[in-house]
Amino acid sequence: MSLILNDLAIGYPNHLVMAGIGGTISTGSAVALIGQNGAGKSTLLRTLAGDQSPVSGSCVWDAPVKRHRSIAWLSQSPSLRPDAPLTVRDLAAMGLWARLGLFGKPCRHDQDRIDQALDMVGLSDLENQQVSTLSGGQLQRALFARLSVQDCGLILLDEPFSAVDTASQTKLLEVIQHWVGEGRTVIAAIHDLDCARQFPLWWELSKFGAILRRSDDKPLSSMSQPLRAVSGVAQSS
Amino acid sequence: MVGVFAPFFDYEFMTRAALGGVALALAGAPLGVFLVMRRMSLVGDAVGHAVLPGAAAAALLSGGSTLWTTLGAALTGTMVFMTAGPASRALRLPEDAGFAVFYLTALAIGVMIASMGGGVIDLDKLLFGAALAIDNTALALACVAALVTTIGMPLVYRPLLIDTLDPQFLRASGGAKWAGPVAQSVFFGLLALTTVASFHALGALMSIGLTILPAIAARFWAKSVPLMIASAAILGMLGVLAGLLVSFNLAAPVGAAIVSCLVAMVLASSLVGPNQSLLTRALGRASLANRAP
Repeated sequence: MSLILNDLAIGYPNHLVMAGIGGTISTGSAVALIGQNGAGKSTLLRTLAGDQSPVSGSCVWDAPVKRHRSIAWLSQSPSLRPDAPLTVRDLAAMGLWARLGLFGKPCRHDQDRIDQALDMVGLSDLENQQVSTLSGGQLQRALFARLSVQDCGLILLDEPFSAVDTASQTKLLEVIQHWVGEGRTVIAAIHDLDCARQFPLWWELSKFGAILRRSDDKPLSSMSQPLRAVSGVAQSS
Repeated sequence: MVGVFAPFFDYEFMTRAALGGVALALAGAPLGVFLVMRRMSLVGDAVGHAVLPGAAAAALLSGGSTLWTTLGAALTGTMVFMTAGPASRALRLPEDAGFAVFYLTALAIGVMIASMGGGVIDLDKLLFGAALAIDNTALALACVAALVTTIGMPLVYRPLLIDTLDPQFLRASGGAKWAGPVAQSVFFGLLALTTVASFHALGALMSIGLTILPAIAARFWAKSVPLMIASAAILGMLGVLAGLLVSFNLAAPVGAAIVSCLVAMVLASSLVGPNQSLLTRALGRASLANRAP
């Protein structure tokens, strides 16, 4: 029950970013994806999210709970139009799209889930405010509320704290801890190592490959099948 | 007051023009709101212009048949719409520059074809429309556009809205992969149908006006998309009726009168509308200044 990577190669038609990524990440893990600019963090997340095809190999998300089989992804530059005529509640409700489809009507349970998501990110008081009037940190929290409503088992975040203040960052970290506590897996690309230390696991991308290790540098014991590095270059533990 | 509207009851051509205009306003409202949100107002305008060569050639060959003129307009409008974007990308031109090249080319070819007709083709009618001379075919086309749009837009509303406001989310949210492309295709198909239907009333130069202008005005009256669509429909219908009356009473060109009335509505809305108009922003600033210590 985990994210299984099988000899995954990521990149573009004429540009291989990284190859030979393999191993598993257990459900309920909180992983900080770290590495220098250009290391391939965003490319890896896009590939895991299914927004980009792998060059070769495969990645499979095998969720223990049926409703957790979907993958949610928040990119570094969300495509949400800054002048979108939506309230904060409308934006959170957008997370129901995959379940409701073209004509489904949100039920009482769905409304409760939106209420809980807005409450969790601290935006209940602003639920009727237009998203165009939100600050950067508030908008990021609203997007986290939408991720919560999506109810996915694997949540991929690309630099989720890059445009938020300390208070919003603390709130968002609490939300991530809550998700992990619910048995979801969170992988977040983070360039700030102080912030990345809030995550128990680091998945480090470098010229030596993709190496999973504990953020406190203690031996990695919880992983049944630790991720391995680029073929033949390094080992993760 | 009732007397002002008497021409709509006294003259059949005014009744016909009002019915056609109201139908086009209903069809154009949701399409215009989405075009404006997608920041494609000028692309819509370019496609409107691009109907000219097909309409002129078909009118020349068919002796001015409304049906054939409509089909010809649809053909070149669709061709420009389908090729301008890919051609721009292939030539590494900004997309709006590609559309400018294509629609100016289409306009020039259309005017040349019309001038070759030796008086068979009424170029003024092709360019500026003839809302007061709408025949049964053109009226039926306008009603079909209104009916099909009223049915089609609710079917794709949800994925189209998400695709318009946050396309990345639609792709990565785990929902049906086909929903986005299908919603886009339905939307642009309905836009093509309505643009061609509007062409008979407003001509190649202003056919998109009845779609875009009420939608722009509606942004100053409503905050949510459904209310914007309702506002655009009401403003569009009012603009059409006002334009027809102005044209009737002042003997002004009818297409220009309708577009002028719609522009006046945009200006009035931007001044006094309840949402982000100059007035509400000034009142907001004054309120903040009064609260300052």
